[in-house]
Amino acid sequence: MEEKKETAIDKLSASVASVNLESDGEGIHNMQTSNLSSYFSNNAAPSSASFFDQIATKDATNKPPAHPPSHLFLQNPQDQHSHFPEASAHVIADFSSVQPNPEDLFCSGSSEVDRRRNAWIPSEDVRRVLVMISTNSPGSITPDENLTKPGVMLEEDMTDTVQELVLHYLGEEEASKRKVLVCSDVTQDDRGLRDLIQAGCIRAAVNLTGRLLSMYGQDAGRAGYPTKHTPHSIQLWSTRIALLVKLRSFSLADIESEPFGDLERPDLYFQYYPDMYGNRPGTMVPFSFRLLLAEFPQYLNKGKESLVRLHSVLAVVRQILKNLDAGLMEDGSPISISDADRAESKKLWRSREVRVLYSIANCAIFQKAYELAVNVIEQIIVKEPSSQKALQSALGRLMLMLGDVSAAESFFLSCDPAETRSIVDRGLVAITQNAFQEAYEIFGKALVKEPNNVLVINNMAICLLYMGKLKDSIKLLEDALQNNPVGGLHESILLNICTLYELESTVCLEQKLSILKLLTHYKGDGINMACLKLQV
Amino acid sequence: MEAREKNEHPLSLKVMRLTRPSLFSSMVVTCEQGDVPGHLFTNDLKKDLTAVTGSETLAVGQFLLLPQSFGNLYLGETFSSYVCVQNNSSVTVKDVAVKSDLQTSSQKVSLSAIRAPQELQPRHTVDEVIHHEVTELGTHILVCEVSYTSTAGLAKSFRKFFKIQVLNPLNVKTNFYNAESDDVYLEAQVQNMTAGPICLEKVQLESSTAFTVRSLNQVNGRSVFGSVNVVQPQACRQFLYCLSPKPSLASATNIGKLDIVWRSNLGERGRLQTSQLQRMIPEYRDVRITVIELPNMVYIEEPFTFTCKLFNTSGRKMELTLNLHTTTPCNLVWADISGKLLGTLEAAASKELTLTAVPLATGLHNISGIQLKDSLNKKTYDYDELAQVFVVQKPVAQ
Repeated sequence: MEEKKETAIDKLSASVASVNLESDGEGIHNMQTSNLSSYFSNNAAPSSASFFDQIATKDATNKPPAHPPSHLFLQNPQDQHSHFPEASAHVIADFSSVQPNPEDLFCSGSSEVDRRRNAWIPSEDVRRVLVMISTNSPGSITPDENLTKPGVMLEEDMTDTVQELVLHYLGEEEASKRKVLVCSDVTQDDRGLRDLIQAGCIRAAVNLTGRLLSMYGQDAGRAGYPTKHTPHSIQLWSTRIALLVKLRSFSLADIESEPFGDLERPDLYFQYYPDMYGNRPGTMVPFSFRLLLAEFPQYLNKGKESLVRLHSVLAVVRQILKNLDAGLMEDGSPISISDADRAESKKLWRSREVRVLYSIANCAIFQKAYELAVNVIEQIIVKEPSSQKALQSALGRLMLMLGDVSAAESFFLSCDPAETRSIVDRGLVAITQNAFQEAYEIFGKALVKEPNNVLVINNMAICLLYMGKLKDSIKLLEDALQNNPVGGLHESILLNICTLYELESTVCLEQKLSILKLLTHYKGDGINMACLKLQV
Repeated sequence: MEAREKNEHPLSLKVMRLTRPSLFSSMVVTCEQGDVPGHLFTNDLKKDLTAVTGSETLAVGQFLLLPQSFGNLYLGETFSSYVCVQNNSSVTVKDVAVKSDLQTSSQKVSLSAIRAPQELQPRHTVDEVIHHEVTELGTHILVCEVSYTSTAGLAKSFRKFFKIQVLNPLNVKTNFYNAESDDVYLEAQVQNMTAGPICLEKVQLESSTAFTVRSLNQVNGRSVFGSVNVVQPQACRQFLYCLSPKPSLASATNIGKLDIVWRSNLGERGRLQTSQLQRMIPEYRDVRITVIELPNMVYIEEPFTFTCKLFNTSGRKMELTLNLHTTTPCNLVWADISGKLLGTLEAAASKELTLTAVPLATGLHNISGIQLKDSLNKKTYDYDELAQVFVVQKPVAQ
């Protein structure tokens, strides 16, 4: 009932500057839905669309996805280890004529590093299927289980939304000045992907993952078709979904990750492909993909589901650690490994355990489940003592978010008062007491220590607003952006400055367009343009 | 956003509610070194301007984000707003004055400071931050009036109306328990009716002068509600207080007031006081019996004693005789004299009486079956369920 009242207020008070962005206006998170629909309705730039189509027709759809073309194996010479499972898969194919010795799993060419990284304990159902496969002659049984049949759901390429706004508001000439990488500007491989991500061209990177997935027959229109998975193809999916999450394209990410389910599918394990990998055990799914899919439901307001999934990932990680401690292999098999190997594996899995705990904490924070968040963060402090000071500071701020000022202050006690972080925390405490003048002065002290710290400048600007000094607030933020365009052009600060522009006047287009010009020159296509509150 | 309505005034008025800012944190997306993006996601997090050193993968930031929506307004909170009037024309406007009032069905409150009208250059603004502690529920209308002198020398003005709903933040239910002594126990249930979790900073019973209060919400100095002081939306918390009446005011009904202070995002504060809490006094008959000494726990088949006090609350002198009856089911039998003459009890006087009983069954039982006969006024008073006693088996001696 309260929601309806909110929208009624907005309709009546058209001049209230803090207008809801969407009908339920909860901040940035909900902005994405309207932008997403524009992706589907926009026509992609002609060149990318036709290029994309060409790639799709190169592979005949009936051909089973073979190993990707050889130019992909020109690995980046800076890479340490044999990171890329793709490399090992290729090597395995060369050795396929050799009958693997059942006792020695590693003659198939995969290293200890890969074994540790790819270890997982399959669910009972999956384990049964995999055992069935390994005991029968290869190729004879295809169990009628849930198989993973993903496909790209985006029919057209994502476009550069900054470019579109610039074109609309500033014209062709300004738009032509924009020089950002698009999909076709880079090598069509993993290195090209990294180049795009590094340049902040996330949408172009998403497009590139789509093209690379076409080599596995998993591009647009292929969802639901039987397919074969390789570690590399799943790495591409993992990267693609991660990029979509960074763009907050949650509905699209949801549709595309749906075929993966809970990742307990037999065809995501090496054992499912005995022709290619022999007896090699383990999952092809990268650990970060597992985490990503577990975290995902919270962005669709299904926070409890996320907590359930994250806790089951945690349970498996802890079981693996138990197995290692008990002298077994990660998945519980009584196979001996060297002491050095075991130590490395424990190190890896302990760090993964901490990573899952961070995810659980974030999930709790997102849902405002404060008791759970405090509990989990305290667990992290025990396992990662080096982050104790930083996490105590975070716990204090968590209490400020709840509103428990005295609990916050007791967490802040154990932090070093001279650090910038602690000074900012003290400023935040002043804000809870409504003492904006005092907070402004405290943040000022932090600024003396770090004159280019845009976060501190932003906080000072916010204080100025609450003190009734709108113009000074705007000036402070504008100067910060001019002086720090690369680091400072962040959606959050742009949201603040546009909120201020809208409070100042009904006529604020000019100021927003100056920011748009800055974005044209300094930012890739990854930024969410809803922060400018411009009507398209 | 361009002005949608044709604005014939050279000045624009904008109002923004100033709830506390929130702490912003970027989306945390990571991968391992061995994954395709390699170090890139972690680098992104480290370079992110809103990241906090040392906890980049934890979504608790230090970056302040301005409120993006009006939010909800609750009774007991302070309504703060920024009012900004800008001169959108290219000429100076004279005698600009802004006045903000908050109107409810019962009153009109002026929120603006009194200032002399001023001259406003082009693009300059008149700014004001207004505050109001909300004391009424329901519809409030914020009326902002801007007045100025036009270039033609005419006095002009325009008004904007903003409708605001004030909602109820807490549901408070109280229950009273009159103990067998004169003490009264107050159970207060506080329910969070707001849209988000709150921290109950203070829940205090300010008793009337008739009572002394003991709060029973801490054990060994720590709150009974756990280590994190949070109440989720729709959740309740129960508070227990023991009130002992001052001796002469045993029949007072005015308990006192419950004073509640709560906080939410970044210390957003609200405060409410209940009205005077009243209890129903038990019906006191002419002779009131209170138990002043009673063991909580006794052994089965072993006699125990307890002491009670008789008050003659009627205006008349009494001659009292004590009769003791055994009730059914027979859990407790008397080991005392029934039919004993207690003697004269003057009006408003009291008398102590010690009785002995023997429990015959384990468990929680009532003390009942006491009868007083007033021979002067020919009246009989029965007292049942006077108090409870817990009966256990005596542990077997080793």
